[in-house]
Amino acid sequence: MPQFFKSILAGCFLLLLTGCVFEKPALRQPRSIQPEVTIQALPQSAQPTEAPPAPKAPTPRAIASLELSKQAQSLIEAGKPDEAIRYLERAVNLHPGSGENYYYLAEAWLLKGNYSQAVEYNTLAASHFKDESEWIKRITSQKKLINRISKN
Amino acid sequence: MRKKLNKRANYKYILKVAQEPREIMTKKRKKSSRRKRSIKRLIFKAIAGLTITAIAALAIYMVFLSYRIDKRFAGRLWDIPSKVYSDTTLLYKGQQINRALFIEKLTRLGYRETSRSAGRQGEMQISARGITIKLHEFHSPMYNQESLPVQIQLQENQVAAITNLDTGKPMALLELEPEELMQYYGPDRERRRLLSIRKLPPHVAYAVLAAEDSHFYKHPGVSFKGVLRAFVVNLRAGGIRQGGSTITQQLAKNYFLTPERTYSRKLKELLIALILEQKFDKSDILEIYMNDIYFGQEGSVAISGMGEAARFYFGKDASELSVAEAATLAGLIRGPNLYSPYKNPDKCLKRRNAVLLAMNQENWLKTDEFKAAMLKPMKPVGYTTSGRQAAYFMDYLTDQLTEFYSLQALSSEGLSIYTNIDTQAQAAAEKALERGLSRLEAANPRLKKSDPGKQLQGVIVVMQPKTGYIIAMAGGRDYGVSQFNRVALAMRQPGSAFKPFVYLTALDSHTPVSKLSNIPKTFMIDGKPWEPKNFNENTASEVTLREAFAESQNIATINLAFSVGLEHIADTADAFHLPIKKPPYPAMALGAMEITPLMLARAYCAFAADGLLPFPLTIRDVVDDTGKVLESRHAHIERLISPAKAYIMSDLMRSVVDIGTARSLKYQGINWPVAGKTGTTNDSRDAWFVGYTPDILALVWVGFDNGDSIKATGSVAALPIWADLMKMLPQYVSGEWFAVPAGVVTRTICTDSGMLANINCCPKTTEEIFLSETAPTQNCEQHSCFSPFKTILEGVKKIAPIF
Repeated sequence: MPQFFKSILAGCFLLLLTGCVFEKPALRQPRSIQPEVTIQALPQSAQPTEAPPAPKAPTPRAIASLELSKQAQSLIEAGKPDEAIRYLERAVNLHPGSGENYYYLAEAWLLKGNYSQAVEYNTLAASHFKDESEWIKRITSQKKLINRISKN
Repeated sequence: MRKKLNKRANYKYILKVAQEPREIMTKKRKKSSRRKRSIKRLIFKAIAGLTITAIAALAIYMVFLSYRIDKRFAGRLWDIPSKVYSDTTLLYKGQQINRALFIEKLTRLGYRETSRSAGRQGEMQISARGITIKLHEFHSPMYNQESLPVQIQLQENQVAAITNLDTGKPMALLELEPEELMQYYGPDRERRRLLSIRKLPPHVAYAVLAAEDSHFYKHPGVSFKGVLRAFVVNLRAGGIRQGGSTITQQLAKNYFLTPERTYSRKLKELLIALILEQKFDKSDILEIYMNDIYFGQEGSVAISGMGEAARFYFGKDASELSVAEAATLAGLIRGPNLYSPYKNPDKCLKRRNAVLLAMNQENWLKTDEFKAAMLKPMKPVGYTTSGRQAAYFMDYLTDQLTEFYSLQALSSEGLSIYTNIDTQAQAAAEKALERGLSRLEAANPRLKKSDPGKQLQGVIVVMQPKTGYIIAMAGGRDYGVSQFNRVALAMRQPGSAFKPFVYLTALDSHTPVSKLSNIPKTFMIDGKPWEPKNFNENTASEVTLREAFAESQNIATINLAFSVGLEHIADTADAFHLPIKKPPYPAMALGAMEITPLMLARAYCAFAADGLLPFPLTIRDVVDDTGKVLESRHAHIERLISPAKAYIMSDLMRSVVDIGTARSLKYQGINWPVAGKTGTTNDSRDAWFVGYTPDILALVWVGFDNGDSIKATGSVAALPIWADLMKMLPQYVSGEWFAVPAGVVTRTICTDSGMLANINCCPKTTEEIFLSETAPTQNCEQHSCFSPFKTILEGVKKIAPIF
């Protein structure tokens, strides 16, 4: 009887091994997807509770883009949407992957009263912040605001 | 008695006769004097009448002159050509730059190299470690730059640091002023930069007065002493040799009179000068004069006004002129070419010193300042009469501008037109195009034509896809030979460069792993047989969509097009603003229609811009001469396709570069991710390559205007030009790829079946991306394998999910 169980166990072990004899899948070289560089410090509530992986250092273009974006934010606050858009478009050209620039572009176009452009940029911002809850909240409330104002 | 009587009568008669002449004489005299008096009265009356008439005529003439003066001075005093500017240049720490192109740019901006530290505005010191610049002051409604000393430290071709040398603090960004590209000259071809006398240091005005009219503030517009002196000189010479003109008279002459030297013209000049003095302040007259006067020539263009002269001769604003520089310019007025610092520096120096001496004698310059100024060397800034920059772009811009502004307005209203052109990218595009075309001609001498008008041509257009900014446009090989802007006007067949729009249309029903038939078919078009062929022989009966696209297979593409529907493809092209003749025809799928390179470049932007089609932007702002912004243009985006579809298309086009028809790109120094598509038309009449990254998109076309074959494909003729261009523009290369948007999923696929791979069962698998709605859901049926243990494990999992 013990011999029988031994045979069963040996058989199971061999079956287990059958999975290893197949060739490992040849993967098509995956596209190197750059993680989104989010430079603006998010509110404390948005910070992950677990220790996150070491963030990738922002590229020089991303830093320059952020500088322009900051200047644009001041201009939006000062009620100067045309100047703000000028800065933000340059920021976008420097760092097209930054969703933040699109968010503020939507803000500036909203200030100018061009709702269709505001909606386009809002949508674009949303597509760049699909994993960041705090930004998603801001973008959603911006979208509501655009809809509300455009209806009035 | 009768005798007595006769005697008496005779006596009386004699007496009468004797008395008669006396009376007659007296009467005659009286008559004569009366006549004389009446003549005198007549003469007097005539003179008085004439005088009154002359005075009245003079008064009427002066009223007329006054009216002319009012009319002339009420409107625009000068025609100021509108100026076209490039974009500003942004510098930041860590930026890759092309050192040679950057220094060329600084030189074009008017920065002059100096061996000592750059202390004066517009100077730059170049060393191995970097460049130190004293920035020009520049002000516009959108951009203001103060004259700061900055240091740009370079490590290899990277900006290591930017420091404000005034504060010693690092600068995150440095924006260099825009470059003047062109002026819209009127028929007079004048350059003029207006100045305000109130903003000038006093020594500038004093220098002009010392050189031209030291009694300006004392005379009433006419210096009678000067006129007398000139009259004596002219009398002796027997003709007009000297004018004795004051500044007011010179102004009168320049504005209202012809240059011939006659007494009547001189009289008019005096009258106008007197009227001008009555109507205007002295300082206003001096300001108009300083803005009006001719200061020399830059090629075919006249330098007018002291403001422009200060920029032309000393590279600075008139408000920054030193005493010696102001005296130099003032000295030029008498003979701009005779005393030109460029043509006759010795004569110019003597004249300058004479002006300085006159200033000192008039007590407008202290002796110590006079001595110091006399010792100053005379150093003009230098100039280059460079040809038109970005000439094709300028024509394209003018076409757009003239929709809103007449050419007359452009040549007279002094507008400032700010564009998106990057002169470094433009220079790189022109160089890459010329080098590439010459290389092709060298490789195949049959392409070289003796007639320059028939030579091999090409175009490059460079855009920033997210905003649609056109940053460079080379519409041909040599604007001097052919002004036809092929970027915007040449209707050419795109060939395979059109295929992305076929494959995009297919994404609703196909995936990158869909199998396409590669079996040749004959189609009947208008009763004639048409059998498309592959450029490269591919005997496989089936190919995947990704392979067909990467290798630009014609047969598979046509089969795909029929499967999708030609109407749908035509609708896609229509949405991308690519003109397609209706009804659509099969050859359309292979790019047999005519479009301009700009249309195609713009359409490709949508793939690089998350599916948003931007409007191609050339003009950024138009500002009038008072600084008021007349027009501001921003990027205008239009949603065409989802970000997911745009991403899949970019990924397919990356395969073209990685494994397809554009794979030679990586051997040409392009080692960062690029999406691209080649295109070659029948008989190699057109060769295309459109390549892009998230940051930049460039299109290259090569061909002959008359449609002759260039005997080369897009990958041989156009692609190397693209690679050469990109290597010259490191500032536009981030090396990043597109972020995966929502709606795109990755699956492991069995390469045989195109279905989800059975891990450990399917012999060949690959990772592939899909639109989430078309991603395969079924497992591979070709390679289902039996594994008892696995079956047991899956059975257990169903019973107890914890396992």
